[in-house]
Amino acid sequence: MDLTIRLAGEAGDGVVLAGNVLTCAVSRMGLSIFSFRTFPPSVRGGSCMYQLRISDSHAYSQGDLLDLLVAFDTDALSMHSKDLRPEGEVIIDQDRTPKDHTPLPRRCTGAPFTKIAKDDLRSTKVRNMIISGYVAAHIGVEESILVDVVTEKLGSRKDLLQKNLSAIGIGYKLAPKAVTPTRPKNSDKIVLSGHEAVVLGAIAAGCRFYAGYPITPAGDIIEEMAAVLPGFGGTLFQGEDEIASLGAAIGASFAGTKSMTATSGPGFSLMTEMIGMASMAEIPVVIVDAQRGGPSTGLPTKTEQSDLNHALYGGHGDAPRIVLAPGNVEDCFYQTVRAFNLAERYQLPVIVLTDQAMASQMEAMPLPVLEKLKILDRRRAEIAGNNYRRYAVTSDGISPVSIPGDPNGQYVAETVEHDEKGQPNVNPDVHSEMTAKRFRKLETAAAELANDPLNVMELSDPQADLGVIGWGSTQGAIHEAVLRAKEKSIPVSWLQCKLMNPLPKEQISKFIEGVRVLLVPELNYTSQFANVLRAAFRIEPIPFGKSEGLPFTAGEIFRKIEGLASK
Amino acid sequence: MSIDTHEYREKDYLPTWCPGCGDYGVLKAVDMAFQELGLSHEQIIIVAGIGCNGRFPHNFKTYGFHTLHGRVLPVAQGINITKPELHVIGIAGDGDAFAIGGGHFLHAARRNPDITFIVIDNGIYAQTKGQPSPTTPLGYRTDATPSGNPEDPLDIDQYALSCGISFLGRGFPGRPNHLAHLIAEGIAHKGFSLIHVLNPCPTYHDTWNDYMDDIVEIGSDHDPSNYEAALRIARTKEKIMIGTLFKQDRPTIAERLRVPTPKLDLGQLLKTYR
Repeated sequence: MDLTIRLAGEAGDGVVLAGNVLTCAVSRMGLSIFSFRTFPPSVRGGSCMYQLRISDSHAYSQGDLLDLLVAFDTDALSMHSKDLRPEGEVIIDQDRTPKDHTPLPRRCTGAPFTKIAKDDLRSTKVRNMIISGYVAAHIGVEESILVDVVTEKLGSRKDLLQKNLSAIGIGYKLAPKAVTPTRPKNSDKIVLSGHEAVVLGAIAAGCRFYAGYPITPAGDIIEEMAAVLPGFGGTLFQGEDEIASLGAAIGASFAGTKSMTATSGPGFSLMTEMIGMASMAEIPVVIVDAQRGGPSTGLPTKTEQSDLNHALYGGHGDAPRIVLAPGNVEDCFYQTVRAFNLAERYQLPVIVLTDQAMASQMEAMPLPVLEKLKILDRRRAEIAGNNYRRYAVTSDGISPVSIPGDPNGQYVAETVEHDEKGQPNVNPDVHSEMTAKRFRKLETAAAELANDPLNVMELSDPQADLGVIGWGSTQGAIHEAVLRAKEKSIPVSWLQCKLMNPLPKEQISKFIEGVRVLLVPELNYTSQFANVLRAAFRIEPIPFGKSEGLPFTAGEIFRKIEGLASK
Repeated sequence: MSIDTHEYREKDYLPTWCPGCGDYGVLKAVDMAFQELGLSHEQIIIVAGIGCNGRFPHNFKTYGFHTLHGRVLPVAQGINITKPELHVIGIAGDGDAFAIGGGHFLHAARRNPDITFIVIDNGIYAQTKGQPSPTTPLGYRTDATPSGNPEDPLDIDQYALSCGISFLGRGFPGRPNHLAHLIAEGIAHKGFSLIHVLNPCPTYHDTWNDYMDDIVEIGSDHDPSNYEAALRIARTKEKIMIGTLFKQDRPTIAERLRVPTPKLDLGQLLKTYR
């Protein structure tokens, strides 16, 4: 079984809630699920779509052509039917799509959902739940599972719940029982969006202060944080801009609380001076940049991987930082835990690159075993006497730190170049020694993280001449493309990089040595990661960019692999 | 080795201000205020911006953070919200606080963090050798404005009152004892206090003589809880009145953020995402 289903309607139709409950229900049946959504920049109106990819083996990406299109209205039908497979099916709301609408796909079912919602439940708002029930029945989800999901999601709203459950029941009765129910096996997996995983990872790592300024597509992080952080004794602060938000996070971390902020491109640009400050004053802080499309205001609700250069190099002066790029939802959880650990251990800013697509994509993942998570805290100074050297030059570059309130640990966190005690000092030998000390932390990190399984994901084929190196959220699409190539007996090796700085040089060079041609797919125009590889390994990779504001499909990457392999 | 509880100054550090700079008086007043309140050294954090007073924290045996130009308040608020038991003192000049950092001030005033913000206002960018700041008088000639400053100055006190500041004091380094009491009152005030220091810059904007002639202390008949009266004092131009203009008790942002919430367990929480 491998199904790609798209729900499409207007923002405000409840398309996302319908998609979410179906995603959870499918996951509970033990099937592999990957959900992906796009939305318009406006709150109401504009087109909105939610795509579910369901598989009994693996669903690592959003899928290519549609097996089933659920069109909430005529516009959705017109806009999305081009993405149907030739044998694909459509479910329509017969009240919203006229019978003579041409062309109606050959395989078209549905019901007058709007009228039924109005007549039976006196509310068109629950139309989405009638449709959910209809679709669930159509694809073979057992009714009791969907009922459980909706009951748990709306449990606190008794009035709403009854109406929604009735709607689901109606949907199930309307659906032709075409498909035999897939036998459910109990799944203990949890279903998270990328940004939910980021927030829960942050909490697990000990984050107790969040500061942020509203921006799409990082908005779900501030909302999720607001919902859970106070329950862990943490506080959330909405700054007047991104400079203030990162400034507050750095202040809180200086005072001893693990802190983070999240933003997207425009806010990330504003934060640049503060990244330099955290790097210079050696203060741990985690910055999530949910990349969106384009420079300037760009494409606020679309995805891209074009902030890599800024994450790696943004700002004036030589300012060390660590950059991570999770590859999927599960990775968002573990790389965020790791981001806090690395920030604490090396006392510097750690940037986590997500993007609009990964922010809202939903996947099932095994419940994390919290007892097994390794949580690091900054190396604290043991202070004897009043000769504390906050920025002591050490062999690994890490200087033990005191926290305000610690008696006799007083020092000044200094953004001017400074000596070991933190006294401003711009002498040539001091700047040279302290710059090297700060960068030594990155060298220590590179050595300590060498061969860490979280650095890369790799599928190597010793027969392959062709290698693919991707980074971050393109993981699923590339993974599927590689599996498809293997099915067609095209030998190909693949490495997905998640530790973007310091680069896992050993792992990457070993991979590069094994191949002759190297393809680097990334969602930007300027081949940002290909250029990093070119400079770091003196190789000439083949860049494969895309600047549409949309993620790669497995098909696009597969066709590229196929083309290169046949050369 | 224990620190003498009455010794707050780091005597090894020597300031590099010009002779006659008002900053020396502010330094003395801050020291006296700490002594008056008897605060623990490790409970004090002096957060400074960039300008002539940027290295202020190095003069004290307390914690300090020398931040970026204009960013004293964001950093100070992060500290105060997460560690409200510590005493956070912000130090900035008029350009730092009201030009590049001007966007932060009004929001801090709205939120009322428990921070004492000492703005040392000399009406000039002195560290960069004399360009007009937001409080430079109209027509004042600098190397950057040879025909005179073309902009009207900002009235810091009226602005602070209209932003919702909960404590406003005005002081003068020529009267260090008065300034010390004012700073101590600001630190003791639970909420955001602005200590507006009228500061002469003998090198680029020398106002010593004007201030010596015009400054008077606010009379004991002034009621600092009276907003209109505070505004009248702020507007008075004939004489420059120093002292506590305004004082209001209201919850701080840290108090408002700490709403009682049921405790969550992460293991249990994760299971709700099925």
